[in-house]
Amino acid sequence: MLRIVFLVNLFLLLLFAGQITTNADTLISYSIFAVITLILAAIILTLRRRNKTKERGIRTGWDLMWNKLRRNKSAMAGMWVVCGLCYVAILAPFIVPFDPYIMDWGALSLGPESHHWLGTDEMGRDTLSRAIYATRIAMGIGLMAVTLNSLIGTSLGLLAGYYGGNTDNFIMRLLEFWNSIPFILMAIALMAALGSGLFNLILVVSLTGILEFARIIRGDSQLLRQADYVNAAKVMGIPDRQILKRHILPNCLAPIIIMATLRIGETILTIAGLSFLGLGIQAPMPSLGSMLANGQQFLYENITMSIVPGTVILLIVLSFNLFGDGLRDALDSRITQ
Amino acid sequence: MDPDILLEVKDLQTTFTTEDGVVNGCNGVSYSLKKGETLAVVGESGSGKSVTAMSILRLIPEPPGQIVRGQILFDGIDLTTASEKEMRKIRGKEIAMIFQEPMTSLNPVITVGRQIGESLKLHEPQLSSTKIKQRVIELLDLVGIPSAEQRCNEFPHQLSGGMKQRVMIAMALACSPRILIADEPTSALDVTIQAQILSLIKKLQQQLDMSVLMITHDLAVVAETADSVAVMYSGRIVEYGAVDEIFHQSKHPYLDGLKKSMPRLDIEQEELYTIAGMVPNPLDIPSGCPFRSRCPQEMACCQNEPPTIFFSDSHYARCWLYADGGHHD
Amino acid sequence: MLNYTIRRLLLLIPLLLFVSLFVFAILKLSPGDPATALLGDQATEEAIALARAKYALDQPFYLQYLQMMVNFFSGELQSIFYKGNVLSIVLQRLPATLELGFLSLLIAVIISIPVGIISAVRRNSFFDYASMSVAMFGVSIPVFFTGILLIYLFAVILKVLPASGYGGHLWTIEGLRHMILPALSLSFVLMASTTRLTRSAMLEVINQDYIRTARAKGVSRFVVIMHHAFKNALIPITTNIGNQIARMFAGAVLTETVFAWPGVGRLAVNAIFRRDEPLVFGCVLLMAVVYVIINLLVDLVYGFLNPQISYD
Repeated sequence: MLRIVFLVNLFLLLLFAGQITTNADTLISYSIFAVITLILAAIILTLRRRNKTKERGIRTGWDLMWNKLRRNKSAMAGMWVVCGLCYVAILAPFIVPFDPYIMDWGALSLGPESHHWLGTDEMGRDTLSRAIYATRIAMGIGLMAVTLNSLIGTSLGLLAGYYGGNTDNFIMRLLEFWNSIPFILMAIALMAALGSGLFNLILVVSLTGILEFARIIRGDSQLLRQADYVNAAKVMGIPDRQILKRHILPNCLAPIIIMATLRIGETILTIAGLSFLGLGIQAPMPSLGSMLANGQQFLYENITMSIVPGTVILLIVLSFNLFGDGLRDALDSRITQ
Repeated sequence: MDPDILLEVKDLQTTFTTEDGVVNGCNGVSYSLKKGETLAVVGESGSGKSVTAMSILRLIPEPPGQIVRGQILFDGIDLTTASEKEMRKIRGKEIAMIFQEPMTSLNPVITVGRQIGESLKLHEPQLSSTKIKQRVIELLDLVGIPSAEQRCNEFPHQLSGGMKQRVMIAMALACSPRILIADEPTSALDVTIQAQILSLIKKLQQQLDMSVLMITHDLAVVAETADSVAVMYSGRIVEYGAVDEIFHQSKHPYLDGLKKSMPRLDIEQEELYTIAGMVPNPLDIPSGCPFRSRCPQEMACCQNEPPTIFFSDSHYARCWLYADGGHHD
Repeated sequence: MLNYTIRRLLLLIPLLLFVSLFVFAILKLSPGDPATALLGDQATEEAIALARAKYALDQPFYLQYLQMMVNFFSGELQSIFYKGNVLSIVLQRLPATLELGFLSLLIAVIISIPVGIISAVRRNSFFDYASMSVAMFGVSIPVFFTGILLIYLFAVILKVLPASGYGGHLWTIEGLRHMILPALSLSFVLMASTTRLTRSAMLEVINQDYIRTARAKGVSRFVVIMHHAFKNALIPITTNIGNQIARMFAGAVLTETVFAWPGVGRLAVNAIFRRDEPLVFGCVLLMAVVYVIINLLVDLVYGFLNPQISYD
């Protein structure tokens, strides 16, 4: 399966090679795409080498997890859709049928038709192209926010759990206070104060999931702190930093991965919600939330304008959730919600 | 049928369907329980002793579990084919059960008193609620729980492990059942509490004239309580007999091994005896005698199904060692 | 129990002080000047200075904060854009939001818990697969998309329910008619997650030893599930509902925007666009109060359900 993906990748790479122009956007996409193809090649090579060791019958935890995941049909479907969406996001400049910013005054507020497959909006912009670009932006921000949020949350959780005592108390009380204000109010206040830029949006959204990460990782590292091998490492005089890096963090990886996957979907939902309110991604940049807000105004005339962005959000979030749920089941983790 | 026999299990086979195949929980198990008698079923974990007991009350989860063969006769009814409604009348009223884990066997959100009173309410609907309350307090007194009246309104997490097991016993005895099935009632408890619980069960058995089916892996418990003993291995009974016969004239090498591995105070021992090897994988039980791979006296014929050899009316073993005459020692 | 409640209520004070200080600090960080926002770019220097004095914008930070708090609770804090004082404007909008929230909570609980229980009991049946798929969609669909789809279906195509607006209180027929669609779309998120959680909690409880004990007593399957199992499953279900309250708030703001609902959420969003700082402050503070009180209620219910929690 991986080999087929690799070949498709190579094919697309060659196909789009001719389309590179001086446009910075397409250039960036192309280089990301090229990097992904290289990584795929590397993965295939290492997997082939690992297959040889597998013949000796050694099964690691990851192999078991993968076997379990592979049997879960909905999780696999989610995974493939996520992969597909990643491709769409990266390749957006190559595959959009129209420029999402160009207004066609001859084709205002159209329904689906042969030229504009999913119709146009009230300013004559192609809905499909805008949805593709919006997906690209949403996924980009979502990934960035979740990365930030898992990094901060995990570090705080590790520190709180490993050191315990006052560090723990301080960090957890701080986060609890933080959590006592519902996110939307925080977002409203922050957006009111900082204004609604892309950077501010990432900041606001990434601040929200910290507590969730910190709490779970804290619990795990509290348990691991008492493990015999950690005590052994301490007795040997290995510095705390090294213990955290070598012994505790790797054992917390599974919950981090699961939470991050589930969090991406949620973050994309949040961004769409803020954009819907007009507090998120600002016009003219296409965003799924504001496309929906726009579509609602023309609900009586053109339902496609609402259906398309809404369905795209649903698809993105659903596939991330399915994949995340599958991962959780496969890793048998105790995170339940 | 012997009029004294209260419960008779005949050729019982219970299977579980798992992802990797069908597992025999117990296979061809037969035993009978007389009135007022204590029958102990002994075996390692996974030998099928609990499965047999759960099959009697039809408490095995279905699916994956299923009784595929055999009969369980109680009061002229075959429990394997009885309807759920008939079973509900028997459970708790005629046959009651206490479980291994008192810590988790009591519902954490319902008070102790209500949990005990529940079977009374179910099986003796004519009782008024004050009568039930009074009866619950009597029961708690009976099992030796101090300040019973107050304990009634407490939740399980407020009680110690031994107390919880006493509550479990009170719950089982609420409707004066004719048979008490005790599934490893003491293995989760401290040694001192174990002895108290066992003597409590023994005392109540005489007081209430019950039959007890004692399921255990502990030969000391057997010696203390049982009249007859069934030794199980890998889902089958390998030896069956009165308690004296089992302890003094044991036949099956497995039982010999078990007895030797008991720690003894009267002899200086360097190291405890252990039975070599492991219990066979239930998915892949070898043909013939399931114990043969661990048996010190394994013979070629052990690959075939071992014969059942009777040594007296009540004593038999399933082993090739005695195939040619039936007497030994 | 009473002591605990009082202690929790007292704990609200530092919490709300923290929230208000935080919101105030954030608002002060904002680059714009509300006086300019109010008077427009063409305003004279004098007019701006006058406005700044009127809204105490020329005072040091802590005095501004103190003044704002005092003014807010005494009802003297004036909204910049709307007529009237912030407290009364927000309090006037609060019932609409609370009614909406209450109705959707009710819908969510009434539907999700039975569906979750049946799914758990008939595990792997068609009903289970169907309800779990719907629930998966439910947690993934944005509230505003649900809202728009409901409007399109019931107001545009079927024309049976009004598309937006507030029609009066929950207990009037017109009010209920207006409230059905927004409450449904808001309840969807909670419904989906509660259904999923009810199912998994019930599945976990059903395998516990005490369920076997109850069956060994001869209790019927129905009573085992409803009395012995559900009572235990309610504990995680309550926790989940408590955790979802914050998400309900976000959903309420969005729902109010979709359905042009005159509630606090929409007021807050409008206040941001109009740079009406006092009003943003008031909205956020009051919603935080409501949030904290709801959380306290959930905690009390939790303690009532779980005998292992003691309030000493």
